[in-house]
Amino acid sequence: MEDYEIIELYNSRSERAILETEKKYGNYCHTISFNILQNKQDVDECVNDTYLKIWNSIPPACPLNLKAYIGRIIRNVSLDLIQRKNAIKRGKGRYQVVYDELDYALSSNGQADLVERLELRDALNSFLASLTPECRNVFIGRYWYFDSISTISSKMNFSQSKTKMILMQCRNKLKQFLKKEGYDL
Amino acid sequence: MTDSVISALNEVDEEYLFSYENRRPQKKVYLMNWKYWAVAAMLAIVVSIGLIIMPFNNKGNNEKLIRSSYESFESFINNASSHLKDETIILAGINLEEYETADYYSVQSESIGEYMELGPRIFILKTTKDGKTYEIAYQPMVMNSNDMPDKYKTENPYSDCFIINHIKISYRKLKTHIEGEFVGDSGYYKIICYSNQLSDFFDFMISLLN
Repeated sequence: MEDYEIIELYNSRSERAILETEKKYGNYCHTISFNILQNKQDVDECVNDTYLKIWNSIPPACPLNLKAYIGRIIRNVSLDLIQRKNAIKRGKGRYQVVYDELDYALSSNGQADLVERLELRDALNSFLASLTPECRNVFIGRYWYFDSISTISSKMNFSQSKTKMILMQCRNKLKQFLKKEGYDL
Repeated sequence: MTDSVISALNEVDEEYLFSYENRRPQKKVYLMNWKYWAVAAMLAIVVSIGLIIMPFNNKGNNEKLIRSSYESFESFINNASSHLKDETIILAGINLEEYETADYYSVQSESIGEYMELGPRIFILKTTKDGKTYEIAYQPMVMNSNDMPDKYKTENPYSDCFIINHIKISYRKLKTHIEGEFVGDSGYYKIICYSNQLSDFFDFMISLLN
C-alpha cells in the first residue's frame, strides 16, 4: 500500500491504518528500536507506543514522508525509554556504546532548551552537509540508526577499521564544528 | 550536550536518513581489489614459466628431434653411396654426448644395432664397388691411422679419399662445431663433429660429397 493511502486511512480513523503501517514499516521500526534498546520486550513496547503516537498525531499531522516520520517517532520513543531506564540504572547495549562515543568527544554539559535544540538541529544539518556523502552515511548509520560497525561496514562496503576511522574523524569534526558555532564543549 | 545532539539528530534532513537507509550491501568488485590482481599475476607467472620449461622437458619433442637426425643420417648414407667411388672410406667422429638419452639409444640401436653406442665415436663409411651399398663400422676416438683395422687399410683406394688438409667449421655460436682433418699420409679423412644437432653433421657431410 502506498504511503498516501495509509495516511488516508489514518485520516478516516480506520484501525486498518495501524495494520498497514505494521505491515509496511513494522520491521523498520523494530530494527531502529532494537539497535537502541537491544531488548525484545522493550522494542515491542516502543513499537506499540509508536503506533499509538502515529494514531494520535495523524490527523492533524500530514507527513510528507511517512517513513521518515515513523522513523523519528520510534527513535524518539526508544531513546526516551532507554534514558528513563538509564536514570535508574546505567544500561548496557549499543545505545550506551554510541552515547559514550559521542560523549567522549562532546563532553556533556547539561540539557539544551527548545530554542537551543532548534539551533542545534540547524547546526547539525550544516555539519552533515559539510561532510562527504560517505562520511555522512557512516555518521547517520551510527548516530541516527544506531547500527553496529559491522552493519555499517557491510552497507558501505568498507572495512570495519575504515568505518571506525571515519567515525572518529566525524566526531572530531563535529566537536570542532560545534565549538566554532559557539557551543560550550 | 551528547543527549542534545542525539535528540537533535532526530530532526536532520530526511534525505540524509534515506541516503544511508537505501544503501544495500554491495557485492565485492574483485577487479578493483589488488589482492585478486596479485593472485592472478602469480598464476600468470607460473603458467608462463611452465610454458617456457615444457619444451625442454618434452620427451615427445626430443624423440622427434632424434628421428629427424636419424632421417638425415639415412639421407647422408644414401647420398654418399651415390657419390663416393668404390671403397672410399670416410672416418667421421661424432660427439654423441648430447644424445645420451634412452630415447636416442633405442632409436639408433633398432636401426644400426651394434654399431651404435653412446659417447664419442668414429664412424667408418665404406662404399662397395657397386656404389650403392655401404658398411658402417665404428672405432673409439683414440684410434689413429696406425690402429685402423687392416681390412680397411688394405681395401682403401687412397686416391679416392677426400684430401683436405684441414677444415674447421664453426657455426651457430659453438653449438655446432665440425672439424675435418687429414690423418697423416694415409689418405684418410677424419671428420669430427661436435654438435647438438646430428643433422648438422650429416648436412655438412653431404655438402662435402656434393
